[in-house]
Amino acid sequence: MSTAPLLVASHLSRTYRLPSESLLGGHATLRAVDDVSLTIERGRSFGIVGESGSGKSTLARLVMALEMPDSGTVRIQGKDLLSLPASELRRHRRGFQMVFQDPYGSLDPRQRVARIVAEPLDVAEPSLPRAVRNERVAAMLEAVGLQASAAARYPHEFSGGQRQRIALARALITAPALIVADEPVSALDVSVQAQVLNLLMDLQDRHGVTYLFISHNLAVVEHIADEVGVMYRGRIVERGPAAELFAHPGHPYTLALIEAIPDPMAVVSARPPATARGESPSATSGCAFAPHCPRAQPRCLAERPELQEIAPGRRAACHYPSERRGRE
Amino acid sequence: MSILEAEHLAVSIATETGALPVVRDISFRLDRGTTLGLVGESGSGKSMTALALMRLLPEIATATGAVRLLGEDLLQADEDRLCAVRGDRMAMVFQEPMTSLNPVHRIGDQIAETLILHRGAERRAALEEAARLLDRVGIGTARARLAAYPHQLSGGQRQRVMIAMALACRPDVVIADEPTSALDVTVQAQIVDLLRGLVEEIGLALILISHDLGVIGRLADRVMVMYGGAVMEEGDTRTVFAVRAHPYTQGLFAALPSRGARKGKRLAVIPGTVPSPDALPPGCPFYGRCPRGQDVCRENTPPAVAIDGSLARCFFPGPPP
Repeated sequence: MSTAPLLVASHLSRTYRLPSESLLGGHATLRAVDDVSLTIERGRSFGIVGESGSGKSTLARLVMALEMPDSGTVRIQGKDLLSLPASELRRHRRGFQMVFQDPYGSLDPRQRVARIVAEPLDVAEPSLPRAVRNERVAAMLEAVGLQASAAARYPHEFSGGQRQRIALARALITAPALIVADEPVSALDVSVQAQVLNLLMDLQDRHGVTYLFISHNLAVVEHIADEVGVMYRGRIVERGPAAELFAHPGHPYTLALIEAIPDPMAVVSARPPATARGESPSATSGCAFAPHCPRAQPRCLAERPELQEIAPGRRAACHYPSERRGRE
Repeated sequence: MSILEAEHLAVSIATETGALPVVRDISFRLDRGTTLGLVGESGSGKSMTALALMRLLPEIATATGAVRLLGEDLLQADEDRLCAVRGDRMAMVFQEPMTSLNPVHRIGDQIAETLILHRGAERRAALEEAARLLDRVGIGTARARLAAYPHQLSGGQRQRVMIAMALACRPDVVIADEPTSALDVTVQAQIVDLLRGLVEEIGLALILISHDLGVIGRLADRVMVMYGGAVMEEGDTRTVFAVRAHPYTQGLFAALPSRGARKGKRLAVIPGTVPSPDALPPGCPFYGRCPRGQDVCRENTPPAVAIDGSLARCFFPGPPP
């Protein structure tokens, strides 16, 4: 097996045309994803964190070739997805699957679990004998901690956590090398979220699955990701090994995100709460975060910072990144 | 006297097979300038409790016990009296500001409506007050924003408008049901700060309902940890979070992904899932998922036991053996 990275996304950009403000007015545009590159090695997890509007879900759809970028390339296992003819792309889809946030909306309520889980397999291997197919479905349901008898039931008979297991079984049935998971545990209760996260980690250990894991929850990402990219206004503003990045954030936005998370133990240790920072930033020709950045200088408004190395393996798009220091 | 008191409040839903309890025996006192947090997962009964306090329960649900607002039992009040109280003395803020605001009316009119309805204010004066309220909840250029429609505002701004509406008549009590759950973390932190400021400055009594232990920890003076319609543990928030005398509270905290964890570390799991109300045991609702459950727990209501200042309803409370 090759040692080449499993996923290489290069310089992805995607611009949306916004509805015009007036009947005769021109259209404004929104750069949902702006020159994003990332690489994931086989069997590793890359976490994307960011708030709504950061472009993280658009990035997921671009990587899955569910949407075409304006520019840039996506290579999975060396294949350039965006240049493949439609029929060949369909054939390759078995190698990368997606899990969505909403375990209620993403499963067809009129289909039995067996059909929902088998669907990607039916597309990838339409000539598979019925008995083999059903065996694979049963084995997959058991692998995600459901009973094989679940196959005969409908989605509404299951709880949220169980539905997310069904979605995972469906994503894994073609033995994909890459799973793109967009907020896969965000709709779940804490106790169920822990079960699904453990399952994701077990599946990676057992089958060597590679994850592109998207979440607004930093603690969740810290548990599951080897490497993390922080997105803000369509760009990755900081990236690096998860433990390093969370312990010593270099970009002021990363720091703001970390400080905004309410820590239940803060009340016990009587740590003062962090100050909140502004919302709905306006566009500038410089750094998008500058209007809300405590560290902003005139240069930040004028000149857009590019991702640059701030420490070995660590990159931040900031003119004035934090010095590496202890957080105490 | 406390502003709001609940005494043995219980809610049951009529079904073909009889009354199904969804909230079991809740009692508390809420004072001016303090926040009570109700924390729990889905199905814990926290939202049903809020609706019962506001007498907004669906028709199939019945509340028993007492809910006293300044001594007056709201469970005995007639609909006219309730209409006078709701939005005036007690107001509610919901999770989803986009569906709670009327999309076809300007936000200024929506806030002013409460004042015209309850206070008989003139429209001009009501709009004047609406601008003041928007300013108070941190919406910049408030006067210009009176004419805005909900869709022209961000999620955080809409939640601020909802809070302004709740505050319009200077109520004694505000019940906020997951007020920050639909918001981004940086915006959530701002709304938390706003709510805390209101409690401290205008002496509001706040009931905060959330599944988020972090938000509860930041805002609530006292907390009730709920599961299956019952209070598992309650007390001063700092004490409850530090002591964690009930096995459910312990399980909930252990399941939280913590910052600074080693990558790939497995999380502690509460086995099983929250059962539907008709599948709950008559005794402790947590029986069946509890690592310490014994036969006695299934049939009998657990006693309230104080452990280091935290009150746990459990036959076997205390740190894990």
